[in-house]
Amino acid sequence: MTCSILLAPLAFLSLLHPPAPAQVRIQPEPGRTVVYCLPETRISEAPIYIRAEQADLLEVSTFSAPNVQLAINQRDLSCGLLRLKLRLKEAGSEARINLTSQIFDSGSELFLYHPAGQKQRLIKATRAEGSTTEGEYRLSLALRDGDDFDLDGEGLVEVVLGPRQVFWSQALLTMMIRFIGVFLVLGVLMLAMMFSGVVFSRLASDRQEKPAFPTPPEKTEVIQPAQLAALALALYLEERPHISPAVGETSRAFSAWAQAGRLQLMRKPGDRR
Amino acid sequence: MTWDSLTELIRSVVLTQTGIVHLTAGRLLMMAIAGLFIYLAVGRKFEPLLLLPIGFGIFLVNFPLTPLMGYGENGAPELIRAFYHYGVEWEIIPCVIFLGLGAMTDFGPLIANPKTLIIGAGAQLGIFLLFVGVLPFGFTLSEAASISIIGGADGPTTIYLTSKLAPHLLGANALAAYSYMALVPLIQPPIMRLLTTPAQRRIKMRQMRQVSRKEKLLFALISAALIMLLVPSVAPLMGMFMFGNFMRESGVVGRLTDTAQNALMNIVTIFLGLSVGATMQAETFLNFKPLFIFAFGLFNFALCTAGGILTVHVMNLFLKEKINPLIGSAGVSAVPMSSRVSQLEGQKADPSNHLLMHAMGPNLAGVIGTATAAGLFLAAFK
Repeated sequence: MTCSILLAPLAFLSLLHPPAPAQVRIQPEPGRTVVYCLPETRISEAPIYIRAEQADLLEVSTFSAPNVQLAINQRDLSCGLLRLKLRLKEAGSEARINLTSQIFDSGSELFLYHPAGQKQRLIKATRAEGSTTEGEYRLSLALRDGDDFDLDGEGLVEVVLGPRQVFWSQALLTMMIRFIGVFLVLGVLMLAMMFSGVVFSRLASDRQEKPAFPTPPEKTEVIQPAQLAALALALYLEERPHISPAVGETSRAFSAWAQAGRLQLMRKPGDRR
Repeated sequence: MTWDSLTELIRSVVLTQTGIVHLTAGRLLMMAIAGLFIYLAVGRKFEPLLLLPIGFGIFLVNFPLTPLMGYGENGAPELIRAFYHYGVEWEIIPCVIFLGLGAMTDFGPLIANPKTLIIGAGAQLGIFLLFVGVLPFGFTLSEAASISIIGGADGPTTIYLTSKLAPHLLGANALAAYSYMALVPLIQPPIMRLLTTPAQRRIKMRQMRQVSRKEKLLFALISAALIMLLVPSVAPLMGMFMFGNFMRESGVVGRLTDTAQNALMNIVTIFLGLSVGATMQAETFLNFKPLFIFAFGLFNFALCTAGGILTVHVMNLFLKEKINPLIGSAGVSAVPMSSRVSQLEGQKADPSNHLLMHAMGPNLAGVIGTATAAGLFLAAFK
């Protein structure tokens, strides 16, 4: 109720610029008639299969009457209105018209138009039995010989009907599902990137932890005693602490390269490992 | 030859072989619009790389009897129609642009802070709200989807989606998308200030970690795989985008990367601009729909900006380390313009605050988010 109150102004606005009528192509085939139409929710044609049980489907055509007052929003009609003419196989019998399509779902309805106006009604979709290649849902209408749609009282029946889906509910559902979809897709990507980020960060930290001191060069050069003395003096002057460090802190205070230099100095010239 | 037959001949030549008498008020108006775009590009330097070819395209096709956007006697497309047909209708140009964009993009900021992907998703709010918002004005669902994608401020995605769902709106949609991209520095700051407090604008964000080349390579592969798995219909765009990025990050195909970034990008930009401009012929363009599109586009863009900022506010409710909401506005795809706007607004609040690299994360997420939204729309209308 609240929803329809909220949507009422929207329906009014859509009357200002009604969309173009649905494009329909009708193709009779043995045992059925296929109506190809371009509903608003599609960019490619969708087939609707029409079959008659206990009757011969004589003609399927489009029905357009601009001045006709419909009990529903015209925009809800997926394929406009169709006029079906059929002859019942036996006088006094009951026939059935079935419409199946991939575009029908549990929310689809069959709108039945009656020129008298009062008898416009909606029939809900039901699950199709057996093979579902033509669609999982079926819109079905029962007709009886001699009822309101009987033209001649002898089984020639004409009905005007159209598959219907509430336009605004379709639009709102599309909006919500797609918006959530964007969050889902980017959310999955985020989780994947967080996981890979953790893996890469761990690998990087492992790599940093490995070498505490750089290993001294393998090749030792022969150092002359005079050079040795100069190097020792330079190192002493460079690293002489102003305050004597506590035991154990000394080695940490020296840089890695100083350590390597000291190791070199400790070795005898020409000593190779 | 008599005087009468001479005048008859001249009259016939003027009527059938020149365009003078076929110049209508509508065509002249379109030429004035073309002049405006050319002025904006040349005189004001507003997105000149696009507005100049678009403006010139509008100018060219609005001359009557010109063999540019029709089909020849043998059914072959005329010059600009051929660019349009093979480039836009066959969806080649938007995908090639995405290839170039991928080759130019450094995903480092996004990889270092993957949470910003959610901001990119939240910034698509305007797209979905406007999708429903334009329907009462007589637009069909597929037209509404193509118009709403303008809010993402992503030109190639807008063109890609519109060429599939509502080709007749291509000119207006592309022009609106690129116009609002150029106007990011004017449109976004008031919305950013409105939706944030001075204290929030001063939030400082921790410096991001370094991202290795291997991680960037892996990102291109993982994101391409995930997105194509979840939204297959967007594979042409995202596939090309990530391919371009993979080339860049691999570092072994420098020549190809350079071509994708520069020469190829420039070539397709020329053809795209001319083709889009050429769709704006007076007969098809001058009706209420393009006007609505321009008005809605602005509103949509503002909603997307607000969507990004509001998403940051929501995220901050749950996060220990708060995010500066100014980077939320960068969730639209205008790379790197909206990031620059975030940086400038952040510095106005605190001159020592540098948000540029933080804003690049949602900015890149916005590109992926808009492409995903386009893919979801395509899947819905197939």
